[in-house]
Amino acid sequence: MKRAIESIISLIPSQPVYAHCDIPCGIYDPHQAQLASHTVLRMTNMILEADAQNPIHHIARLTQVKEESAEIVKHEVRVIWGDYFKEEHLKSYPDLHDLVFKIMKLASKAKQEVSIDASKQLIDKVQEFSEIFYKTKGVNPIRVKSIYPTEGEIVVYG
Amino acid sequence: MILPISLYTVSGHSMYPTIKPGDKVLSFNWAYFLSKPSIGDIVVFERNNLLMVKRVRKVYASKVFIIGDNRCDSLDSKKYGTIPIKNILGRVFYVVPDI
Repeated sequence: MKRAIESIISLIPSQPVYAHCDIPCGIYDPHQAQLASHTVLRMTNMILEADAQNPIHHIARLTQVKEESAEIVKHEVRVIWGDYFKEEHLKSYPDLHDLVFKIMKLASKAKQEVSIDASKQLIDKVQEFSEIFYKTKGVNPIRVKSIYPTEGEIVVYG
Repeated sequence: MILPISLYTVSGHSMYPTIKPGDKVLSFNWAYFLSKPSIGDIVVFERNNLLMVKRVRKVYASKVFIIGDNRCDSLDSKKYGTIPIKNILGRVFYVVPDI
């Protein structure tokens, strides 16, 4: 009975009401998260390369950018995860929640420590996340060599 | 005279998981004729000539603080402040899932 009433209601003309920002968005891209994850690694490397000759001010600046970049990773991934991904995506990618959880933890670890290992793992997980995102958009994700000093790869789509 | 009930189709994810994009909602337009919104009410309101749907989190004398259930990137009172109660068109009382 309830189902029948709902079916009838769904046929009645209705006006749109928005449950998002001021304008309909739909513009999502994990590129910024990838960029920021490479920046985390770059800052980590530069901190480790700094020696006694470097003033504390230099280390402070590198650390600040590392912190900010890790936070950008978390923000960008959270937005795509929370706003873009839907239940139907989880059917195809059941490990998505776990992947996002790992990204959050790795980004925090990369902030707390000066760890090349954590930074590289963060890049790797963000790339996995990017690949899933691009697949759900119906495009083919490709890993290409990055042009950054951190080398490694970034995920683009063809 | 305003009709008592309006039907809307929801666009966007900011009320996820309570309301999903494509769901229809029934709104009671006479809900606040004699009383003020309550915390937890899902309301349809007008802002910048757009009709929007969000949940009431705080109620002040003549305004409400509204917020999306999907906190991650809902653009709501956190960003643009409170909404005058007079801009609220009605209270959502039923969600018809998108089939």
